[in-house]
Amino acid sequence: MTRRDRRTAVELRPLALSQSILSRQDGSANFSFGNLSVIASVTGPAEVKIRQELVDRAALEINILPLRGLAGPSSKSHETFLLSLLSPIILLSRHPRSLIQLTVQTFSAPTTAFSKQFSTDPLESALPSSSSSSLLPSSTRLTSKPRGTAKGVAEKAAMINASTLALVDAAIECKGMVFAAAVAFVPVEGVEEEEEMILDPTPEEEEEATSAHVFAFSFGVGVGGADGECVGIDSLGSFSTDQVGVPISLLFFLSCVRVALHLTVLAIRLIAL
Amino acid sequence: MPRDAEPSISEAEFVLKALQSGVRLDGRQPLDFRTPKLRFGDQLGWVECELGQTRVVAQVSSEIVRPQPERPYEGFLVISTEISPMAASNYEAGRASDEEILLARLLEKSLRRSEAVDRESLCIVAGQKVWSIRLDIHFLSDEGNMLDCASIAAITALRHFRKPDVTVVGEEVTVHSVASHVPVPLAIHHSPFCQTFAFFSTSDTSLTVLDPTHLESMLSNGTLTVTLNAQSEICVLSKVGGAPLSVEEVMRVVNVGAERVKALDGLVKEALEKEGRRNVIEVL
Repeated sequence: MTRRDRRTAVELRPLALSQSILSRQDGSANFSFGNLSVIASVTGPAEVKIRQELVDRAALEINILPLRGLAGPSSKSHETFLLSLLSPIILLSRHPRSLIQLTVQTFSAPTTAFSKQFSTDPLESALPSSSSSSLLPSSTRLTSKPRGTAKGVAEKAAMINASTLALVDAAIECKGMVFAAAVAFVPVEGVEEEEEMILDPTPEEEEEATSAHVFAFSFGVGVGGADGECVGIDSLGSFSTDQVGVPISLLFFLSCVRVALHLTVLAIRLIAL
Repeated sequence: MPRDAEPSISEAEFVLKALQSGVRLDGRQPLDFRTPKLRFGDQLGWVECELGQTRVVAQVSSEIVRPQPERPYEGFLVISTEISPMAASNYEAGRASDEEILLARLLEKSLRRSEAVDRESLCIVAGQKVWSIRLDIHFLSDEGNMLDCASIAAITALRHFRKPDVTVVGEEVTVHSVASHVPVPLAIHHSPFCQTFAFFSTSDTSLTVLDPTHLESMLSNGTLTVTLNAQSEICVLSKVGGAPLSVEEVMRVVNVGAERVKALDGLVKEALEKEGRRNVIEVL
């Protein structure tokens, strides 16, 4: 199946990453899936406030900030997900009574606001959006499941990747690295109640999706090796367990994430020179 | 919230001595501005401004809301300037320090109270639907003078942004997608730019620098911010506390600011034109 940007179902958008981009932070990184770009910064080990202090390990503080608007419940929930993903991977016990502060900011993201025509005329909005000005031929997709659950899922995956790269740049000791990719299930055109899996959805595809998942894999000695093991899944929407089992066992899905790992290793080698 | 290390005595003495001979650490003249580097994003209304190592991103977005009942013809301009720990770790997420509050207030006065954006042109159906323009300013790196950097990014983003075209028939509103109808730019009366000066007052001399770096602002005795537009009009003048300044010094500094703002306005205009040629929105 070819998508609107002519990718195949399991093709990622072009990846880009850079490190050491902020002067006042110990570590920083910028990760992009196409034109969705996320910047992460890490400071640590640093002075900790009394109420955050832990006697046997570092306190990990994560702040997630969206591009538009203020941080709301979805940012907070993703902070919790990131915390549970990164706490086992970072060697926090190396720095007791300290703070490792991770801040993640969406740097640039396309918007879908006003990409479709809408009207307040009650008659016009009742008709199927078959006008040529509509970017999404949503009337041809038939499903009873609610759609649009995937909003922000590629952003979440990019945030995990940027965080890992920033931690590496800050030289915080970790057991391995965590990388993630987003997967969405969109209804098949013309076929009822059938969905197909696409990797790294664009905002338009996120609006069409009936369910979306962020899969996080850890790579490193003892935490998944070179093939990686799945350490986190964040799902939203209506789906069956068979659908979720498919991405985990797909080898070529892992190889896509491995490409990101290779890019990182390359970046680290360049820094070490 | 890790605190910043205080500058050492040798750093402080060196900076002051160098300033007395008219030299700054980065080689600039005392009244030289760092040349801003502007970058535009794929979507309209995203601008990144770099002043040396200080980086600020401004993102403009729009939505349709109900106007206030006592002002049915006016739209809204909402400015959000939360400083995250990314700018520097001494900024706390969620809690604003004194300097943050000052920065937010100055930006608001410069952009909103100075009526830079015409709010009546944002009206769609009086009393029912108006545009609410939201300007989110993200501070990525604080190497001094985030205020000036933010004001350049903000005004450039507002001039770069275009809102979707709207057709009103009676009380029915049709918002056209940006793919079918050319989006409409905002009505901007004038472009205010902030100019921040830092003062170092010793017992016998008073030294002034424009666009202080982080180290210079930590060592200074006070700052003065003057917001001007290219028509040499003062929009905001703010000197909060700090060492006292003579009237002549203030006048001199305002004149220097007026000159610099004219150059800045030209720079922003050129950058916008270049971006307009690269990313063609409409063909007339």
